[in-house]
Amino acid sequence: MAANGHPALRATDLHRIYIQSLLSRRAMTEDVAIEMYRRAVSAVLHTHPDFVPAHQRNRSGLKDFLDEISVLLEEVSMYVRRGQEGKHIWVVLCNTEAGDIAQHATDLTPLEITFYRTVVEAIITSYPANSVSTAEALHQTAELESTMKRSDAEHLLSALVSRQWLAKSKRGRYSLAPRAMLELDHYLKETYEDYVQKCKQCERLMLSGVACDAGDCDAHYHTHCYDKIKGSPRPKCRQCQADLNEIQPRAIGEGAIGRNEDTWTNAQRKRKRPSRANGNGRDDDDDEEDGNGASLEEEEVDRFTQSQAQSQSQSQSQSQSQAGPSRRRSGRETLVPDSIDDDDDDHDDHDDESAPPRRRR
Amino acid sequence: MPRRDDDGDSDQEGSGLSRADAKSLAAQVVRLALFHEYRRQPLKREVIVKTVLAQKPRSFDTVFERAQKTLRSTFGMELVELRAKQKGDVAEMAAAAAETQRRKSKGKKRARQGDDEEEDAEEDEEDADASKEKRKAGTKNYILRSTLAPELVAAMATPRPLPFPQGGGDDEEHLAELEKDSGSLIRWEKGDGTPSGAIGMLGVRTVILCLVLCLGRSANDDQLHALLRRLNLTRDTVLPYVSEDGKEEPLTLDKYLDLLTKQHYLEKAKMPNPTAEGHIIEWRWGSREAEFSENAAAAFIERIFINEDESDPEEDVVEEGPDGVQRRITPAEARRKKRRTLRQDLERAAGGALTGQV
Ligand SMILES: [Zn+2]
Ligand SMILES: [Zn+2]
Repeated sequence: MAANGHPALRATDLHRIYIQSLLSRRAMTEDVAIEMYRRAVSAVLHTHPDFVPAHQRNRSGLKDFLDEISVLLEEVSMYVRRGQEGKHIWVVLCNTEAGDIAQHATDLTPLEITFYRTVVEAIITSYPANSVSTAEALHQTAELESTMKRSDAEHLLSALVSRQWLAKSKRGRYSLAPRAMLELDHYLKETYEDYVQKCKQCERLMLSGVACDAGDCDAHYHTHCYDKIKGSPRPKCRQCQADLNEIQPRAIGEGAIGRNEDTWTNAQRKRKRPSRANGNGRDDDDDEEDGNGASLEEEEVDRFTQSQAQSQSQSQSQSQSQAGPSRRRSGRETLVPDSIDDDDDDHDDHDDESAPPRRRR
Repeated sequence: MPRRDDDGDSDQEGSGLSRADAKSLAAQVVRLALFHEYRRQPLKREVIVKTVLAQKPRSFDTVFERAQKTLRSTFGMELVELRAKQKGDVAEMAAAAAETQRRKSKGKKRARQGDDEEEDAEEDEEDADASKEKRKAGTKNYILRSTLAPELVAAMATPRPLPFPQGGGDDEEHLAELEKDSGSLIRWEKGDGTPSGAIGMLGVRTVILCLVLCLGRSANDDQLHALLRRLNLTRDTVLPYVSEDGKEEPLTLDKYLDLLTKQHYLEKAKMPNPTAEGHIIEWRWGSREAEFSENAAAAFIERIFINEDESDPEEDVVEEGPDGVQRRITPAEARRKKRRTLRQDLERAAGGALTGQV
């Protein structure tokens, strides 16, 4: 630890309590994380009334405290990540060694891990929607080597939402939840470098927000980053310098596609896209909660959905040709807990039954 | 990115490991332990050897000690070896357990952190009796247990609603999340990926463990189910508690008993039937009693039966003495008495002094 410029950081009960809290909660919005810090301090004060916490019980105090936690956890290749996703700042306990999904969701069976991976792939390759409908998500079971019952897939999806690996919108569309964005960003950037976009403002992974639509420009922005630029006196696109007051950006994420996409059926995928009914603009009104503040003109929506239809069919053929298993790269060398089961005689029975299709390489 | 070579220190530690190597291997053991605990699955020594120490099986002790050090100092946890599965007569087991307890309290002055050293020391004691010897052979199965003070652990599990954002906030989804959150530092339903992670299931488990304890530490299958039926729980009752993090469907009582056996909360013993052919099934506590002890169970039962803040503390209680004469005592006195009696009843029901830390 001395190497990191923290010569004498020693863990106190306050650190231990907070680390245990992080282990059980994994991902918290910042307001909850601050409240947990306050409660951790109270717990210590209750047993040691003369305890004086080193940091204030507010946002900046928590930030400093979390830095200490990260230093303490470095030894075991974990750290705390703090970053804005959607409307909130999130605090997430991350593994540095785990670039891949398998290491995180350790109680999932190999089949379940493959299912999650497949759903993630469907989400990423649905660009610019960056989300899949419920039916589409469930349909991913068809890609698996062993069968997964529909009801099992439904349970699993809702568990993944609760564990914050996936988010489900009011429209019933699945996208990546903040925890997944913060914990899996390396994996996503490496595995899907052709799909994922980085925000031009903050350089972080972005799956929901807006894209500049001036000429050939394709600069992507998180909604909160875009709003920040728009708040400046002369808002300009970081890439093409276009005046953002003049340009209507296009939506990225769920807002990029109309509601008729939400009732996806497998047949629909093959059929020619039905011509658009009116009312897409209406639909987009309720979508603002997912953070795309961009209100699109109706004709723009039409133009946009057409181009999106093209890019979708493009990405579909791409996903067939190269986004299949062979394209997925293996993660870094890690301690992969899913190999543990092999030794275990009293583990979940279904662990053995499903052949491990996740062994890639 | 892995950053493991920080000390650059190549001191030998006798095991042929440089200090940096030992540190990085120990870190992997720590991670392995955390992953296993999330599944409520004991970590086996052979798993550590195979996954972490492949090239250096003889460095187990060095690496394990180092991992314990990190777990205790950074996480406030430690790996505890599970005892072997119970064999033989229950009364004999209880006597052995009480003996262990007596020895432990002898060395209690030692720091909590020295627990396992203490056990090592015990192992060296020459007068150890035979049944204890057997237990000490060790299962080489470990679970994680908190080393924080019991008051802290209790405070961390206390639910308290989270404050709502000032001005109400406009994000309905977020408000719904806040409302769902128990507000306790440890969110049990998040820290356990198995069906037993649901708070309701934890309640059912505790009740079952208490019943087994009160049935003399060993409950005949029929006996246990007769009692559970009085709680409206039959073998195929679907227990409707599923944590949102859980991926499985609700379990039936029978399936849940099996899961608790797998998770080492219970032990299911087949005993020869003394009166007829075949065998009978007996339920006992599993080795996870290292996590939830008999004394903790007693404290739980006391909390249910004796309400600390019983209404109207002014009013005296009329009690009838053994001589049939009625007299008045203060409520506090009544509670103290009740607790004493309850404790005696529990010990009688269990068939011996209760063991373990609260
Ligand atoms: Zn950004
Ligand atoms: Zn631009």
